Formats: sequence, structure tokens, C-alpha cells
Amino acid sequence: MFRKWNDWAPVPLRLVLGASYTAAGFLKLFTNGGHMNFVVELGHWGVTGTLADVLTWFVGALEFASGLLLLVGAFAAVVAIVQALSTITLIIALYISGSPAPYDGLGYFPYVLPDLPYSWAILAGLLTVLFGGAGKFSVDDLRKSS
Amino acid sequence: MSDKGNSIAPVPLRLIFGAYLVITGYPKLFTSIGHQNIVYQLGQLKIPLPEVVSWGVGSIAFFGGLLLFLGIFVQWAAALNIFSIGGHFLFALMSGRFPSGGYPAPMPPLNGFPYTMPEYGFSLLLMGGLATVILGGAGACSYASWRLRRQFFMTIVARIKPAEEPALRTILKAINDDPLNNRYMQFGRDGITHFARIVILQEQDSDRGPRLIFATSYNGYLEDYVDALAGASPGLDEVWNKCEGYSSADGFLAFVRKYSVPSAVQYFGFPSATVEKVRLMAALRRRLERFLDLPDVSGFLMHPGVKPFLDLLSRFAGSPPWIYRLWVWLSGLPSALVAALRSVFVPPLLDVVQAFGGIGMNYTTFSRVDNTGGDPTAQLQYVAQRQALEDTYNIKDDQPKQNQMTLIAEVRPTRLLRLWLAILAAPLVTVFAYPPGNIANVHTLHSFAFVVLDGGKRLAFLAFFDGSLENYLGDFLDKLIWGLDTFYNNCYDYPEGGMRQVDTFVKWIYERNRAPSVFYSAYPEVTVEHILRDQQVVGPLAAHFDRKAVDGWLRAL
Repeated sequence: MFRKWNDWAPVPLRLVLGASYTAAGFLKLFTNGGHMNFVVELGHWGVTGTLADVLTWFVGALEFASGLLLLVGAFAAVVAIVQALSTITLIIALYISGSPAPYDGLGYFPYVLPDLPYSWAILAGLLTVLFGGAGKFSVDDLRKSS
Repeated sequence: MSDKGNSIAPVPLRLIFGAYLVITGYPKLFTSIGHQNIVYQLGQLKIPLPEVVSWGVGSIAFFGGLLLFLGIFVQWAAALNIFSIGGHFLFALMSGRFPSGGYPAPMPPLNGFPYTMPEYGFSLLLMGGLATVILGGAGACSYASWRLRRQFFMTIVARIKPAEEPALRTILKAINDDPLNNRYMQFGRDGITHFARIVILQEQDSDRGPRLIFATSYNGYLEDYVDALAGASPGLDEVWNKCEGYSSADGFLAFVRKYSVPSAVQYFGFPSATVEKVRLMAALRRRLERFLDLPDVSGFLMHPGVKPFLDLLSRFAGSPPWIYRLWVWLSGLPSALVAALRSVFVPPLLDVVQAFGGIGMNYTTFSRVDNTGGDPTAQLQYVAQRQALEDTYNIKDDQPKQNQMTLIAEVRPTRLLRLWLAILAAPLVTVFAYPPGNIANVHTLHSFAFVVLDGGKRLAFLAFFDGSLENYLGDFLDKLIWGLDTFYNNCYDYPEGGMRQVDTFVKWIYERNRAPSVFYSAYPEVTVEHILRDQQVVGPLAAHFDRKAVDGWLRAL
């Protein structure tokens, strides 16, 4: 019943987080709807024009890379720190001025920005990956054992 | 990654997921509008019987979240919530409106958290995180981690390979002769084992060839304990490859898991005490005793004594502030409450246990515990009979401070259900009825366990206690007369008068008591009475101890 933390534990969480970030980043980078959606969402916080466009490319690339790294379990702690900071920023922004309206009906996962409860849950998951590592079937695990 | 049981990794998951589930579960269960909303949403998802299912969904979320938050039975709480969230997920997928829809919005006019259902992405994250909790456990700051600091029994029952018994006995003798420095298993080096015994069971206790029982008590995780045990056993292979099923030191944990038999009932005199803590308290007490034994100190204590000094000190210090006194009073409240509850509930509980244990017994004929009736001649005869019995069954009281008992009795198949009833009720007495170090006012028991062997064919009683076996049985006869009757009246040939039929009872016990090949105690000179006293003496001294301040105070003297 009472088992200690083991290398299998982070695997499901890492895969879900990895798949979610990859999907969210992919849409921002490689689909017009996903890219525009995030540009419009940034407008909710007063970020518009070129800056919004650049930020969308940057966040999309970061999410896509983070997702892939989480999926293969490489540099999981670094990814967790970077995305945790990003999530904390989102949580603060959501507390200050609420959620933006979706663009062109794209108000669903993985287009839409996470709401507050979902953001807190993401933060919890990232902290668990940070403290617990990538676990089995990961590049980090292979590097550790080699 | 932390390999310790108190890993911090699952803590954020537990706290945040737990809080989320409690907050979303509360309105489903305890508010009318919240309940109507979940019934509406389940109906929209086309889940059958939404009115009934809504209570289950709300209970799983609220109580499961609470358990997750506190770290109690987290695997069960997580599994049930995966089932609940996964169910919603599947019904939403089957609506045919994936990915943009499927999850119903809250019932108007409700809107937003906590009335919304988690959508696809959030649901996947919740299920992934909960699966992580199932695999990784509760981690630090949890009831589970607190409980793991307590003591456990490990009882391995393994069959000895044919023709290996003589070699095994030679090894066990070497271990018993020098438990700390032998070349096989050095119990003292692991620092976790409180007590250990190894007993070889012969044909009469075994259906096919001799078996080995290895019973120990320890604190913490089984994995950590097995690691420590293996680390302190240079000859691990030499001992255990005499048993069937053992492959190598690398597979020792798997071997332990496979051949461990759980305790049906267990009692620890001091469940949260570690070996280190017991030894430290004893060392402190001994130092204090040595100091007090100095001639000048004892002279001073007699005349003028410490009273004048304490009077002066209290006049100078005055009384502590009311807030401190309130804190002291409040901190003593839980134990006072427990003691009051015990005084109310324990006597009727023991009456029930005694009545249950007495069913089918002949207490009318054998009504007295001491059947000598106080007659000195009869008492002398009784003592002589006991001595003869001990000689017959080779009962050696060569462990002056501590001893063990390994009793193997065959269970009557028709009484197996009754035995399990006794086992199920036993924690009421062993865990809740008495304070630490005391069970039915017996202050000599360090720990004991009942272990059901061979699918209910045999019942093993494994105890570690202070003093001789004779004194131990005397304690049972004086104070725990209902104890063994309740269990052993389900076994073959148990005297019809039970423990009241003293001679026959003692003979029955001796016949089934198996001498250990190895007996080890981490603190052989420390009795239960010692630990009780050590806690009283050392506890107040160590409370709020500030080494730097004390050093400064001593320098100023």
C-alpha cells in the first residue's frame, strides 16, 4: 500500500504534459488558426502588433520544444523550471484580468489558454516532474545510468 | 530523483489536485444548486442514472480529494478519481463532438469554476497526475509518511532445500553466537532491526519438509529495510540459498516480497520508537544514573536536597505567562481525551472480547486461574510440575532480560471463521485500548504478532518480551486471561478451560513453542519498564533543548 517514490511514477504525468505542450506549441507554430488565436489572446493583456506576433512564435517554439523534451524525458528539470515560470506568469495574468475570449470559436483544448484551476494543476505537475525527475523511458534516465 | 520514502515529488500534485477535487466535490454533495448541476451535466453526457451517479461522483471528488490532500490511502483515492474523471472523458468522447465539445456547460445560470467539468486537456492531466500518485505514493507531509515511521513486522516463511538443513543450522548457530560480528548476517549493523529471530520448523509444523521462519521488527519502508539488511549481511547468499525461491542478493527484495506473510494481528509497545531513539534514551538515563550515583551528589540530594534550590528558583522566575500555560494545557488535552475515552469504552470492550473468547469454553469447572487454591503444599507441587514441564520441553530461560516466543498451533478448520472474527476485532485492543508500553497492564511486551500460515491451517504467535518465559506466561495468566483464549480456542487440543486450566494450558503452550536458532535484540538490556521510565526522564530534559544556550549557561557557572 505505502510505496516509496519510484522511477515509474513520473512517466504518465510527463507523457501527458509533454503531449499537451507539443500540441499547444504545434498549433501556434504550424497552423494559422492556432497562431492567430494566441495573438488575439495576447491582445487581452494589451500586447499587440509585432510584439504579439514575435511572442507567439517564441511561446510556440518554447512549448513545442518543451513538449518534445518532456516526451523523450530530456532535461526534464530545466523544462519544468522554464514552464513553471511561464505558468506562474499566466496565473498572475489570469488573476489580474481574467481569461481572454477565444479567437474564431477556438475555445477548446489545445487552442485555448488554460483557466486558473487548469493552470494550477499544470504547475503542480511541473513541480512534480522537477522534484521527481523524468523517470523510466527517458533520456535523463539513460544519461544517469550510462 | 529522491529514493527516500519522504519524497517531496508528489506533494504538489497531492495538495493542488486534492484541493481542486475538494472544491469541486463540495457543491456536488452539499449544496442544492451544485447537486442539481452535476445531475444536469451527467444527464447531458448521457450517463445512466444521473441522480444516483451524481452522489458517487461528488463523494469520490470530495472525499477522494480530502484523502489526497492529507495523504491517506492516496492510491485508492487516486484510482477512484481516475475512474470518475475517465468515465466523464469517455462519455464526452462518445458524444461525437470531440474536440470542440462534448463536455456540457454548467446548468444556467451557473457559470465557471467550480461548476464546470474539466475538459479534455485538463482531464488528461488530472488522470496522468493521479496515475503518478498511484505509482509514486503520497510522499512527504502525509499521513502515509508519518505512519511509515512506525514499526512493522516482517515475517518470511520459506521452505528449506532438501539436505541443506544441517548446513543452515551451522550458519544460524554462528549468527546466534555473535549477531554483530559473524560473517553472515550482522543484525547490529543495519541500525533498523529492533528484534529478530530465525526458527526452523520441523515436519510437525510443515506439510512438506522443514521450513524457516525469519521474523523481525523494524521502522520505515520495507525496501529500505531490506536494503539495510542486505548491506549488513556479507553472507546473505550463504544463508538464503539454503531456501527454495532465493536466487541472489539482487533478487532479495523480490524474494522477501514473495515469501513474506502479513501479520494478522500486531502489537508494538512503542510503535513510533526507533532503535536509535531507544538506545539514546537508555544511554542518557545511564549517564544520569551514573551522575546521581556519585557519593557527593547522593549526599547533597539527601541534605539539604533540591527543594530549597527549586524554591529559590521559582521565586526568581515567577510563574510562566498565561499563554504558555494555556499552550501546555491544550497540548495535554488530546492525551487526556484519549485516556477518558479509554476509561469509558475499554471495560465494556474487554467484556465483549472475553464473552466472545469464552464461547464453547468450560469456564464453570475451571473457574480459577491459580488452581492451587493458595495451599502452600499444592503451590510447591505446582512449581515442581512447572519445572518438570520446562525440563521436558527444553524451555531455557537463558535470556535474562529479553526473550521470545514462537508458538505454532494447528487451527480447526471449522473455527477458521471465528478466528478471523477475533483477528478483525483485535486492533481495537492492541492499538486503541491501552497507552504505549502497556497492554492490559502488562508492561513486559515489546511486540507480538499473530500470523496465519498455510492458508489458515496454522496460527503462529511471535512475541518479544522481557524476562523469562515462565514470568511471561504468568503475566498472561494474571492479566490477559481473555487474550490467548480468544485466539487459541480455535486450535486443536486447546484445553477446555483455556488459560484457567493452568497446568494443561502451560503444557499445551510448551508443546507448541519452538526454540529459535537465532535470537537478536538491538537493545538487550532495555526493558519495556525502562523505556517507559526513559521517556518520562529524558522527554522533559530534551524538550526545547538548545545546545548553544546550555553550553553558554555551563560556561557562565
